[in-house]
Order: sequence, then C-alpha cells, then structure tokens
Amino acid sequence: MKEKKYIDRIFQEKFKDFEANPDEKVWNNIKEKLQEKKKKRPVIIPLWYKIGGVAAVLIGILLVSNALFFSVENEPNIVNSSEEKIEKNTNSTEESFSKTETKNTINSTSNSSGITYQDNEGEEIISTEKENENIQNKKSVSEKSIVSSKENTSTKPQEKNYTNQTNSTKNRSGIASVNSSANQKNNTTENGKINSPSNSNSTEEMLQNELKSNSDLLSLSQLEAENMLPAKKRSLLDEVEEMNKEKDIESDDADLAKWAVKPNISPIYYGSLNGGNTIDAQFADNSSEGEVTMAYGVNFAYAISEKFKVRSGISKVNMSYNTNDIVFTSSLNAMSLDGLKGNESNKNILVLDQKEISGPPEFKGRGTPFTTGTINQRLGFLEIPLEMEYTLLNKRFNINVIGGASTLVLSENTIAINSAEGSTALGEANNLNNVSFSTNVGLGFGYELSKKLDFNLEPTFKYQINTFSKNTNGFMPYFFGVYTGFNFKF
Amino acid sequence: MSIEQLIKQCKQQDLKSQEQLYRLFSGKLFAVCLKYSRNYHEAEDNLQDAFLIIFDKIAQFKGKGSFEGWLKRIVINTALQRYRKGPQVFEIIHEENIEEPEIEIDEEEFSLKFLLEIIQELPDRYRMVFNLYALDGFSHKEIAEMMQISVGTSKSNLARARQILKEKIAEKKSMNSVTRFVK
Repeated sequence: MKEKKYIDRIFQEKFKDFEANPDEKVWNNIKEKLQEKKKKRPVIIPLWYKIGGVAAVLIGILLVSNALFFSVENEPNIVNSSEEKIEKNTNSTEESFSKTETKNTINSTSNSSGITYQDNEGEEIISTEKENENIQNKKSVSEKSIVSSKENTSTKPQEKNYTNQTNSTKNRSGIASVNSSANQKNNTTENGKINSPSNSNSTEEMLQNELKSNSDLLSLSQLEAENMLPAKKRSLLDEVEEMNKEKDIESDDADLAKWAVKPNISPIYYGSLNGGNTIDAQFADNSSEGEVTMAYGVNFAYAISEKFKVRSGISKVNMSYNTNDIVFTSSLNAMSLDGLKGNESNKNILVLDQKEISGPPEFKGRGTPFTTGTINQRLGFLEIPLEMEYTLLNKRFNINVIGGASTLVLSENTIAINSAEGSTALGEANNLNNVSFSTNVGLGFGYELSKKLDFNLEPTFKYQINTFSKNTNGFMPYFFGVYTGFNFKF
Repeated sequence: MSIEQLIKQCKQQDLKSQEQLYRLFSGKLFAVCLKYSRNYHEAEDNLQDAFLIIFDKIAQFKGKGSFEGWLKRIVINTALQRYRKGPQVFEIIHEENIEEPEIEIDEEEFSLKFLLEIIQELPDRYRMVFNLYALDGFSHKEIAEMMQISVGTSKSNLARARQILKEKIAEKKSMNSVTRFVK
C-alpha cells in the first residue's frame, strides 16, 4: 500500500508545477478556425437585421395607413365633430356637477369651463354674486354668442345654463341643460323649452325628452348625433368598441375565407444595386444588364386576422444577366475567370474585357483574332417565401402591403458567351451559394371577380442576400417582379 | 486586465482577448494534454480542440468555481472524448488477480520527460484512470461516470497502470545501474 502511494507521489511531485508551452502553430490553427467562424457569423446577423428592417418598415407603413384609414372612415361622419363638442360639454358639466354638489362657490364652476371663455365667466362670477344682475349678464352672453363663432355658440349657451343652474342650485338639471345646449347650437330658440324638461330628475329621461322635443326640428345627421349621445355619455372607448363591432359584423359577412391559393406568374427584372460583376473583377466597369425572365409558382395564404395574412408557397425564379463588351478567343494558356468553375470546355477560352486589348478587336496580341460578345449568366432558384400581408383596403378593389423573406435554393447555374457567331457554354459559376435569401417588399392590388376569386397584381422588390460566396466585386443583386395571378379563396 | 474582464471580452468573441486567454493558460493546459494523450502530436490536437470548445462555450462559464478548473475540465473531457472514440483494446482484469510486484523505488530522481513518456505509453484507459485518480484527484466514482465504466473497472485499471509504471521505473533503474556499472 505504501508503495502504491509512493509511485503516485513520484508523479504528483514531478507534475505539480508542470507546464509546457505548445508550438505556435497550435494557436495559429485555433485562430484560423475562430476567424472562419466569425466570417460565417456576419452572414446570419445582417440577414436578421434586414428582416428586422423590413418588419420595421412594414409596421411603419401599417401605422401610417392605419392613421389614414381612420381619418377616411371618420370624415363622412359629420356627426363626429358635433359629438366631440358634446363630449367636451358633458365632461365640463360633470366636473361642474361634482363641484357644485360640494357646495363650491361659483368661482369653481367657472374654472371648470374652458379657458377661452374666461371673459364670459368673469362676467358670470360677477353676475352670480348678485342674482338680479344675472339676467342682464345672460343677455350680454347671448349677445356675444351671436357675434362669436360656431364653436362658441355651442358652449356659450351652456354657460348661460350654468348661471341658470346656479340660480336654481339644481345640478342635475345642469347636465341635462348642457346636453340641450348642443341642440341650442342649431336651435337657440329652443332654450326655453329645454329648460322645462331639465327640471326632471333622471338625466336619461331628460335626454329622451329633449330628443323628442327637438326631433322635428333636427336634420337627419343631427338626429344621429343625438342617438349617439347616451353611448357617448358612457365613454368614448365604449363607443369606439361598438363601432368596431359593427364593422366586424359587416366584414364577417363579406369575408369568411381563411385560406387562399394563388398560382402566379411574373416577369423578372434582375439587376445589381451597385454595379459590380461576379464573374471577374475586370468586368466590374463593363456595361451590364439583366434580361427579363419569368418566374412562376403557387402561393398559399392564411388569414390570421381580418387584416393580416401569412403566406408561403413555392416558385421557380429564373434570372439572366449580361455582361457586355467582352472579347474572347481560344488560347492555350487561357487565364481563368475568378467566378468561373474551371472545366475541360472552358480552359482554352480566353475571355477579356474589351478595354484590355488595344486597337480594334480584330487584332490582338498573338495574332489570333478576338471575337466580341457578351457573357450571359443564367441563374435559377426555387423560392420559398414567408411573407406577411396587411390589408389596406378590402372592398371590391383591394390593396395590400406585403413584406417578408424568401429562401432561395439554387437550381440553375450556367455561364455562356454570346456572340454574333453563336453561343459558347463556359460552364458554371463557382461563387454561388446553394442556399441564399431575399428580403421582400411589395404592394398587392386585387380585384374581386367573385366571392371566391380575385385577380391579383403584386409588384414586388426582392433584395438578395448571401447569393454569392465570393468575388462579388460589389455586386448587390435584386430582382423585381410583377406577380400576376388569380387568388382562389376558400 | 483582470481575468473577469478577459472572460467577458472572450464571451464577445474578441480575437485579441481570446489570444490573451490562450497565452495565459496554454502552458498549464498543454501539460494536462501531454499527460492525457498518447504523444506530443495528439496533445497538440487535443489542446487545439479544447480551446475551440472553450471559446465556443465560454458564455456558459458563470463565474462559479475556478476558471482554471473549468478550463482543465474541458481539456480532460476533450481528451477523454478522443480516446473513447478510438479502438478499445483492453484485457479484462479481475481485481483479485492483481498481484503487486515487490519493486523497491528509492529516492532516485527520474526526469519529467521519462515519467511523461511512460504515462503516454500506457494503454489509453489506464492512462486516463491513472491521470484522473493519481494526478488530478478524481474519485473512482467520478472516473467511472466520466468514462462510462464501472467503479471496479476504474480501480483495476488504476492498479494495472501503477503496476506498469512501476515496472518501467524499475527497468529504467536497472538500466541506469547497468550503465553505471559499465562506466
């Protein structure tokens, strides 16, 4: 046993402070691996930033459109403005109600009514100090009210009523009479009539009475305003809720469809936000353009609420991009292009920027003639989008805002040279990622052909991310499509 | 910079701080790797793998217990992982069969290099158990859990390891005495 311990101790003692410095290459390896990892990371973060950005833009658009929507909805309701005034009036009378109930002086009553009428209130204060003078004051107020603007007329009779109330010291009648003041706006001569029902105890009853008494004199819109009054008295929130409910009922009848399938087709305009060239740096300055190609696919949408839809689907997108003003020839020591995967067929083709060779393109360095042409790159992707659709307008004609992202799976990848003499395949690009992404923003316009069928037009801009792994030379690809199709709802 | 700050920076994957951390601990940890590995080359591999894991998982270090202990644990686990994967050629030894040879070891100094060499020469599992138990103070129960073996196996492996080491030391000693005699 002792011996066992002994052998352990030999090692323990020796290894107690054992340190050994590893070769520098170990750190270099670690560093390399860490940097590789770091390189991968920024690809992911900007993607989420961009999606976040799109979401932010979308929310922004929603907020703005919401604001627009509300104002549009409210405008035809002329009633609303008068309602608001009435609301203000009831608020102020409620305040005054409580204050006068606690036997406050008339000073406090005057405080509760609006600042703009301080002059009048001042007069009121004076007037209520001596009841006899009251009648004179009232007259002066009513005189002023004739002169003053519409808004003032609605509130000044109200103040008149205050003084009436302070005379009678009956606050309940105060509320009623203020409500009646709204009527007075249109019918000031009704004042006397209104004062009499205001003596009754129940305010609701009074209101109804007023309504009855005034109904023959009021226009239709005014009637509506009066009908709103009891609801308004509860709270503005209740009112809004009620209006929403009404809207819901309306829209529920109109739109029961939760699902929609939309086969679509679109011309695709492909390009770069920033010039550049992914085939070789020497072509970065060359003129280039995307050819119009086609995309087709199917979208599925699910309505998560009345206004929001989530959509996905699958589509095939083809793109074609031309780099102009290049020259090519066959050469034994052809230098390969950065972005081209070398193979048997292209190793003997020398492709250069036209500017590289001096003189007319027919004469070049080693005697062989160069042919001018364009490099054509074709890309194909399977696109799987995940988008949100927000409805701005949902009538027979509908407008939506669309935002989201797509996953793009590479399905086609060819590079060829086109010249007057025909087309020569060069092979495929070596810098295309198999999986890339895009952020999508679009506007959707639809026209309802029947309850189940819409015709749709969606101009959509898609900014591609992570399409190329290297040699982008500043190339920032995007594509734009006008997705057209029929939307089947069920 | 305090070690806490350095850890914080490493959590943000700051390369400079990672290098600093490496410089600070690589000596000690490489020594651990050497003990647990078959040879110098594998020790380097283990150190590299361990540090990549460390930088990856550093966010999981919550400041409980010693940081060095945490690092060492990762290094040991990395080594264990490696040899768990490898082919396991073990003779099953029953504890009762183990006979302790009577070998006297005197106070003679053995070089660290030699001791390391004979540890590295041990079969993988013996080396692991000996290191864990004799040098790093783990109990048989802990070792059994870490290596997914039974406590009994751990004990017998330790005994075998000690036996082999003692034989090698004795051998070395006799060789030394022979050379001395020759002189």
